[in-house]
Amino acid sequence: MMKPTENIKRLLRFRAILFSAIIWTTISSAQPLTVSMSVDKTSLALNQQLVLTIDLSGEGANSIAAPELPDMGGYLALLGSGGSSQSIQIINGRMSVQKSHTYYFMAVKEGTFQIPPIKVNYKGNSYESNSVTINITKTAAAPAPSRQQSPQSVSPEAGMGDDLFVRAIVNKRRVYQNEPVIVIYRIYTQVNVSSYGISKLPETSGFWAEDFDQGQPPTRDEILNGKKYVVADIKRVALFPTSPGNKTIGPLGIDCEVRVQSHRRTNDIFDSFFDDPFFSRTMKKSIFSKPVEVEVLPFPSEGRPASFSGVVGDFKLDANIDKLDVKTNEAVTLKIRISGTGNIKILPQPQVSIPSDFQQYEPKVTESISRQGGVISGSKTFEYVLVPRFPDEQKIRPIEFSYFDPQAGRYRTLFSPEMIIRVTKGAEDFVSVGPGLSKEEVRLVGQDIRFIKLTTPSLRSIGYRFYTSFAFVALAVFPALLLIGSIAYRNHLEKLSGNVAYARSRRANRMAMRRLSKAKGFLDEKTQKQFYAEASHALIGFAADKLNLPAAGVIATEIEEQFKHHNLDESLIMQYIQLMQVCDYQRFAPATVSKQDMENLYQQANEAIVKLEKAF
Amino acid sequence: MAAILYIFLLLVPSGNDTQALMYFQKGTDAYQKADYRQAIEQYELAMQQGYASVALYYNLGNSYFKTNQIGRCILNYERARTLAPRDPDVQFNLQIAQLFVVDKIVVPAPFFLFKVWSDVKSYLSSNQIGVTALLFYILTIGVIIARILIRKSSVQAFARYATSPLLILFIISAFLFVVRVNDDLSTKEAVVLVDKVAVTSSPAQDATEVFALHEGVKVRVTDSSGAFSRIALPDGKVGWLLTSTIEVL
Repeated sequence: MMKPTENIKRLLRFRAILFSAIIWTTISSAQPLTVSMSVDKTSLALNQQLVLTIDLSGEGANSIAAPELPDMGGYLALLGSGGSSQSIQIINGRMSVQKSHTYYFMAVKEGTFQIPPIKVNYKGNSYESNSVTINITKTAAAPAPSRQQSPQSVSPEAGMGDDLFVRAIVNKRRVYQNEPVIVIYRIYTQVNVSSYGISKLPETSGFWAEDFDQGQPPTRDEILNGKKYVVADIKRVALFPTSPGNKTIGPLGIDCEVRVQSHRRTNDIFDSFFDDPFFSRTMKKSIFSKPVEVEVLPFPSEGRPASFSGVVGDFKLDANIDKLDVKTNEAVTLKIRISGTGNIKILPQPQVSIPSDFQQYEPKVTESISRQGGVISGSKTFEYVLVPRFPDEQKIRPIEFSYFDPQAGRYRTLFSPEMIIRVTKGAEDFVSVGPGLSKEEVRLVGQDIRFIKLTTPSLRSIGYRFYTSFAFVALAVFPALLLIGSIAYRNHLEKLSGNVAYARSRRANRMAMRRLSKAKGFLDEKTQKQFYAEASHALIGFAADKLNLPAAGVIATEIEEQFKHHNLDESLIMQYIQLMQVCDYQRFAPATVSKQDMENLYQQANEAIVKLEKAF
Repeated sequence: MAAILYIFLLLVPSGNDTQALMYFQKGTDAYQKADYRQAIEQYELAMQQGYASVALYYNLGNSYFKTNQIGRCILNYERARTLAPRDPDVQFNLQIAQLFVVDKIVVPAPFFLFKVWSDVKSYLSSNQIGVTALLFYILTIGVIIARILIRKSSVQAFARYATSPLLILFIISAFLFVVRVNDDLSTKEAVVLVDKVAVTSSPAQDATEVFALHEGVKVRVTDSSGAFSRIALPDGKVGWLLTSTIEVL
């Protein structure tokens, strides 16, 4: 089963295919493109409206963008576009497309003028329209032949030309920058306007617009070009140009409801009754004012004060202080008021140099603007709250304010008088419980300081810094040395305990010397045997220790061989071996020797051990 | 070991200068008799001997307070505080004295970690943190030496547990010490001693005044040029003032 939405989608798709197929077939057989131009009237008076219509028909008419308007030679001013309309007709399977663009113009220059043909480009071909000649006359007499014929049968359309229009009236066309242009939009009518509404606000780019307050505008009579009109100022606006140059104030558009009476020839009593507006029919009509060109002059560079910030008008400067004799921490208010006519909103904050002894807060700014009586005027007030913190005679230097006077065409600078505030010390000596104190500080207010310290532990040199002292450096270096020493000592111990050969070798000298000194104790003929035994022990023990050989049963040849293995001096080895043999000989086959001989041997043994120790 | 430490401590100049101590005593006597000018004179004489202590700075600050010289009062309290950052008397009196300073420099509360960091940094004076770092250094090395040399199992066990905490304490205190020494050498603080001084935008007599400072404000001296010093306030304001209007801590 199919869902209903899907059904619809399908249908739509089918329709779209069908429709595009039709368009495709018809366009391929369409007529060539034609362009034509027409106007609603060929003869018109100044300030009257002209409606220009450009019709495009045939192939591609609906795909061409709005054509470019030709140069109107200054005779006609464009008020706006009336938009475009399009019609598609299909007759006997042939489709014809017509598109028209409508433009509203206003006659601004009298004379005869030919509106040049309008060119459009389509698919590389250029198409041209016809040209239209129009005649613009000074007075409104020309377009009124129909009225002259029969005033009773005034067609409503004809009546709109000059019996209902709006004018933009400016007070001047040459202004300085920021000098206001007062524009009054005045509606002129000879027909009965039941209501109106502003359909298009004037384009005022490049201006700061300030609308005047206005209620329901009063109507009055005014005679223009010998005709009597009912006029009303429907809008008044002050425009402050923001930059120099030529500016255009755009047209104001108004939609009016115009009552059109059904004119009947009869003088029936009922006619006057039915003449009542209640029974008349209304017609809607759009009218536009003419754009206004304004020349905006730049500020003269000559004599421009430094404090000038672009304010134009006529101003007054007031500055005052509420009290000139104050105590510290009492607030004073400095009020600066700038009043006058001009653009109040752009008034800058004046440069006030407040002495730094004052605590100051952001100023309070109030402005009041009056938009009545044809000028924009008002005042701007700056209120500064100042709190003096220090007793002194404080001066507030003159406040400077500059503006440009457009009437005189020159700058004016206003100064306020210099203000002197005498600040005296507040009641409390120094201490001020003001807004600047924290809760903790407030707690301390009124307390006395604590008493002095009666003794001082020790005095130090002023500027003494421990880390620059010798003690500091010494205490930093000494433990490091200790650490290095102890690491070395531990390494030494480890070698001793872990390596017997090393340990024996280290101990050899000490042991040999101990035995030799023992031998020395037997240095006598009577103890000859013991002496030689000890000396032998010392020599063999030393060699055995050094060579890591078992001390018992070591024989001279083995020692000799080992010594040679260690690359020792040959003569030293020989001497050593000889000493060992002498000792052995004397031990086991004692011969009579003198004490002198024993002493000599002792000396030689000692020397040999020392030499060997060195040689190893 | 202890003997060696003792010898080194003897090398630290204690400088108990008898002359200075005598002046200190005289000043204290004068203060007690409420003769504050005399007290100032005596304390200043003690300082002229080249010696100082927390008590001397503090008492001198008190004497200046009693004679309404708020600038010199704060200067001496601040000096006392650099020697003893946590002395409650110094802290209290400095707070009281600061109430009399006209300028209130409002500094927005710093991020709490920065506050903790600055509190930690200023908990000890630079000398105290130096001694602390050194103590942990010696203890750490002592424990390591004990582990190396003494084979006794009880000593070994103790030393093994003690090494890492001591090493960590040593690293922390050494880091703080280095930071403090760096701060000491790089920042120079001073106190305004005149009633009012104009702080200008450049080091010249006719330069534009940026703001004014009053007696007792502590500033950081960042530069100097001729007779002028460039100062910075805690709230970020900077400017130049005459060096003669301030005194460095």
